[in-house]
Amino acid sequence: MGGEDRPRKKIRVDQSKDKKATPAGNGTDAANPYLAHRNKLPTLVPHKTTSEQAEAYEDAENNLFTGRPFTPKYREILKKRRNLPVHKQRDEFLELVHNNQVIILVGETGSGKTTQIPQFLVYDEQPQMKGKLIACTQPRRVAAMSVAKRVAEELDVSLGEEVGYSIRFEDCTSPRTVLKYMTDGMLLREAMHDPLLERYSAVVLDEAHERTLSTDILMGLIKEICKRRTDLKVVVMSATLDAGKFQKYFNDAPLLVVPGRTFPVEIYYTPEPERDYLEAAVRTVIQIHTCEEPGDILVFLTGEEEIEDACRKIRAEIDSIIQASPQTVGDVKVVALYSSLPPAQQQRIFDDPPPPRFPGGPAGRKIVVSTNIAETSLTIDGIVYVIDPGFSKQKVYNPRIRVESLLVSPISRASAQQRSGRAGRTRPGKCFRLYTEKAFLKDLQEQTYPEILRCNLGTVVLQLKKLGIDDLVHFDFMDPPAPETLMRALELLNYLEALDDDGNLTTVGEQMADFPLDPQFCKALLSSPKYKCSNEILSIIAMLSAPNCFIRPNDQRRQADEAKSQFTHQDGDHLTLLNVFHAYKSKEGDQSWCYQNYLNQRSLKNADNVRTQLVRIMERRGLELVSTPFESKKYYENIRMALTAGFFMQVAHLERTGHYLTSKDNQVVQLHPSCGLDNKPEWVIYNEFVLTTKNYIRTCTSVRGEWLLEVAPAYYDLENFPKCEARRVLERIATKNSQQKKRR
Amino acid sequence: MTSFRGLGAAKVDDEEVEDYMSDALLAGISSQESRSAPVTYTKRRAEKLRRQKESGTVKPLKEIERESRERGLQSQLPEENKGFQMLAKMGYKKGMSLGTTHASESRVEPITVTLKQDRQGIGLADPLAVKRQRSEEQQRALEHEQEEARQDYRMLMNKRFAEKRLMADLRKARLQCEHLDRAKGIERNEFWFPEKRQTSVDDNGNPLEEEEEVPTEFDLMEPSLQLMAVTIYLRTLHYYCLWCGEAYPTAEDLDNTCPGDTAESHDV
Repeated sequence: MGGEDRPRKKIRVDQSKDKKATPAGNGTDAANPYLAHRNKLPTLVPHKTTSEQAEAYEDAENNLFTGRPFTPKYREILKKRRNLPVHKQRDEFLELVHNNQVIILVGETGSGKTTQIPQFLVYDEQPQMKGKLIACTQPRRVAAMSVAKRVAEELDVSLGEEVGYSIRFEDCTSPRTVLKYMTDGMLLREAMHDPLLERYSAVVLDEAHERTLSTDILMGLIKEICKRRTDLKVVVMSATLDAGKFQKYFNDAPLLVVPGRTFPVEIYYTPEPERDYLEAAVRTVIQIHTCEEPGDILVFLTGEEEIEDACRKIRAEIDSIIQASPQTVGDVKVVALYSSLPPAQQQRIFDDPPPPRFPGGPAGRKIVVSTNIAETSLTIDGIVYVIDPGFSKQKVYNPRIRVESLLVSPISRASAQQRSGRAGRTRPGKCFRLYTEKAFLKDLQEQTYPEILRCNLGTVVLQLKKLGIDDLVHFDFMDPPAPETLMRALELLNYLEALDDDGNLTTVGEQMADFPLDPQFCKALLSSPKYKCSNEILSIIAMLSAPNCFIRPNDQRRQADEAKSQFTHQDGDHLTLLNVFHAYKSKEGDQSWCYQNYLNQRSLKNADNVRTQLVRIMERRGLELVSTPFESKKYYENIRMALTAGFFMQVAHLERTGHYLTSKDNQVVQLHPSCGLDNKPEWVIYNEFVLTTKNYIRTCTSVRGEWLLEVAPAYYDLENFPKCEARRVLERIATKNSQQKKRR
Repeated sequence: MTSFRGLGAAKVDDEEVEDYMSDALLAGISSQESRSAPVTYTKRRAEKLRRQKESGTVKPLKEIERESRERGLQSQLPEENKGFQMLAKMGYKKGMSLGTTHASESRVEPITVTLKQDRQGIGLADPLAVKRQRSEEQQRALEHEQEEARQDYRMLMNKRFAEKRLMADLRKARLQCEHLDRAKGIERNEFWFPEKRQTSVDDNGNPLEEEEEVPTEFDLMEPSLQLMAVTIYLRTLHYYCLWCGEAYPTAEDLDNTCPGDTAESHDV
């Protein structure tokens, strides 16, 4: 089949090129004031360029895209770019792209693929001539922003003009943009309005090995789009060597391997399993510092608490050793790294190691203790030793009890390999695995589970439906999720009235798909005008979409809790968040006010920004922005009712035995310690059900049984409700309601 | 409600009983009081807790949580679930996995959820689980051993019993053989017991010595085969069954009446 299709496809490509390229070419000839220098340069024919031609433009006097002369800084960077491993294979890459619709590119970190490949494509495609652009997806927002910034510098253009980025709640592009770095989620969103991605002449899916939910869905979509848009070029880039799976998925697409700039890494295993991996990690750090050559250490641990604990222990141990033998042991700089750390502190990982204490003395060492963000997303130069206890926090979703949590789990062999690779970035390194070789081979799974198997699919199903995919059962998933996960998503969307019983998108569903939010939030937002509180619901949702705004330093817990208590609303955490937001706005985002009140200004700023974006969508959609007068008794009640309209499936009932049971699933849960409800209300809605040491529900607000029956009669259909105390209580309410009605 | 009923009952009693000074009335009243006092939920719960505590079955909340979680994680979504029905409308059937047929992996079950709450390294199994597993294994091994020993003993005893029975049968058969043979006028048969004493008493001693020195083919056979040989001989020649304990008039009678030519066939 593929063989028959191919020649036809090529012919079509040629036709479209002829049609479009020639008039566009003429247009530029007439209008382009930079013709003088262009005449000296070769003509770039899309899909027929060579590296020589492209390099001629890169070395020219003026910038092809802006027409301005290149700056000296550009030329300096260009020299470095030419040294990147990927540069040597530019011709090879172009040839593959010219002859294939989809290619798979494998390049280890440091090969320069993320910054260079999209630029190669820009010169080859000349998307600006067709009024199109090139998209390069990134799993993380930070990466999309920072890479775009870097590439803008490399192309000597200003960020947001020819090179831009687009992430949720932030679009930094212009009509002149030819290369757009974006999160995979954003491209998926765009596909909802542009199902064939016709804005783009080429799409690069970077970091595909990370297998994020959006990348997985995008791959499925793009596979379909490729059949209908033969002119679309696709490059799937991965950092690990398991490219076979990608090749197979894209009908045996060709593979280009770009060697990374890495050095050999020696791997050491422990002879026996470790009783306590944290202790073992600290011990190994001390051993390396006292016995091994200079070179920085990277330790992988699972979370903030553990990392801070380890940092403390390492500092204490090494201090005592230095006191004992100051002549032979050098200074250390111990740096923690985890995502909730403010950026300024995250930057400390790039600090230089401390110098020798006296001339000729033992060298200092930098020790970075990090979560798995240092595994792929952040590269720290100078690391020579890696310590890998073999664990990381991984998201897990279980549809049966509807719990979504970050749980400490063993990493995969692929992950372990990635971690050890971090030791060989600057020179040959060593990796200490705190488990036996047998455990590595026997107890670790080959690959980390892709995200699609580990998370709730509510949003994705809504998006797929909006994209017009009706048959979810046979959708071409690279790794199909468990059927029950899909059932839960369909169930949620049906009760939220986004899908009808046949799984078709309703008008409500159409509206919901417009918001880059979880379906429950969308529903609460759409219901809020009815309850006269859309302004307030917007603020609450914005607060929940931003990172947690409460700061609680270990040594100032009491003060932090006291500060938080000023904002606490007795009826629920959602209202507490609203109070914080209102206070923040009334103080005009004052930094010292935030600091004094143990609030994270960055996340509040972020919430404010998110809110602005959401307001725009509301306005575009013609949804009313209203508030109940604050003096009204109904002010908070209305807000709670609107929240109930979105979260009626995340309800817990206080049993007479004193603990909460989640509705229908009957899971025993407790209010999270951060919860401000002190009187244990009978009914609560919750934002999350998480597992830590206990079953916790987080961000809870008290609601009334009557509201549940009123807001979601389909879900609270008592005929089909599992027999439990909550059902009996609701039945009593229902009888009372019907009696009252009769009386009237 | 309870207290109402209690009051009503007391009233009836009041009307029926006239002697206000009798002890019976007092006793009645006190029993009424204790019955009519409303048993509140709190009291019942306290009582239940007390009883549970006494019997040592009070579970900590953590344990209750774990149990409800495990139960939840084990139970598949039922077909009545709305999502199940919607997926079924798209062509899903119970037990199926999603995706195209060439998907690299077909997943039917969600990923398992395991809560790690310690800092044990990889490869070191949960010590409690190990302990539990080990003790289970030990228990199983012990039971197995005991069962085997029991089996061995039973088999040994069976064997002994069977041997004893065999020897007794054989003895009986040989004696009977001689008896019947002699009745028919047969003078000599290797199936008979070599009558040591008799021959030594009756004869001059030579034939006895000869017989003793040269064991017959029969003497060298296994006792079970000896028995079989004698049985067959008795049945064919004398229509005699050792276990029926009688000689039949004809071969047909023997075949029709006797259940078989082994001890077991007569056991039933």
